[in-house]
Amino acid sequence: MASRKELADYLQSAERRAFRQALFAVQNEEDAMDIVQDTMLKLAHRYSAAPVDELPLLFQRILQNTIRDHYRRTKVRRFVTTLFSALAPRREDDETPDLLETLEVAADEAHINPEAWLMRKEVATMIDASLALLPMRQREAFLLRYWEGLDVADTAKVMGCSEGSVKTHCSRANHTLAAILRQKGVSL
Amino acid sequence: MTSDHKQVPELVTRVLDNEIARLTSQRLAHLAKARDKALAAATESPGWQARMLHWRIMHGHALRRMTAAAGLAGMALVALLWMAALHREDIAQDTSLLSAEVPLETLLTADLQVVLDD
Repeated sequence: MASRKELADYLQSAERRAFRQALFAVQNEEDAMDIVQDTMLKLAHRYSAAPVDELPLLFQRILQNTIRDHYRRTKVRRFVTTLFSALAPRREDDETPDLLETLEVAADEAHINPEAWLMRKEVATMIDASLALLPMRQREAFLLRYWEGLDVADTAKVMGCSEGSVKTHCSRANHTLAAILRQKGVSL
Repeated sequence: MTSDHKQVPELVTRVLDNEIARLTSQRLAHLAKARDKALAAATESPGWQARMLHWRIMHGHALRRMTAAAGLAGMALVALLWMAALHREDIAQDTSLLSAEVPLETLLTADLQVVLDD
């Protein structure tokens, strides 16, 4: 059974990756943050009595379910909005946000070499875009298997599919990413 | 086809690790706040929903596979029984024909009857 400290340590170690995973899935920072918070709440509220070695599996499963719930809610909301948008009065005072305000720079990035920063940002953006192009299940399998470091059996448990499917998803994701990166001029 | 795709996971994970290491302090503060909130809600005993999800994670796939196998077996059994029933009906028909319980004419189609009459 996980103690409070073990649970806190686990959450601290998993929260950043979880946030990035959610961001890949929903492409919106605030929504990703909500998803991670919901996931942590559910895990702590319902599974704080679970053994420590089961926490990663439970956390990942809850995270994937919460992402799927978000998709469903968004779909319904979009449907309702589309349905009633024709009735709503058109707003004339729509403001276009200032592009400079949308750029977030971390405090520790302010003093590094701009060229190196730009290069790093470019590669990161390229990887992000390539991952975003993958089908959801392939991305899920790839991130769980290689980034979260789960083995094939555990990935299959989290995704609720067979081990063969996990291998297929990972292999396809690998080939697709390699092709995209090669196409963008990254030498592997 | 070269095997350069094998380097993809390493490259991607390195970039992603690098990226999460540079999350803004504001974002990290949000995450820490969410974690504290979650820990405050931690309870000692799990409810039935938690037990059910736990069971599904551990045995869900095996259960689905078993259900699919049982479904297939059921369909095969129904098909088998149906074939057996058809076969039995054929035999019954042949027997009743041989014992002249059923006149042959009742089994003939109209056009065949015309041919026989000619």
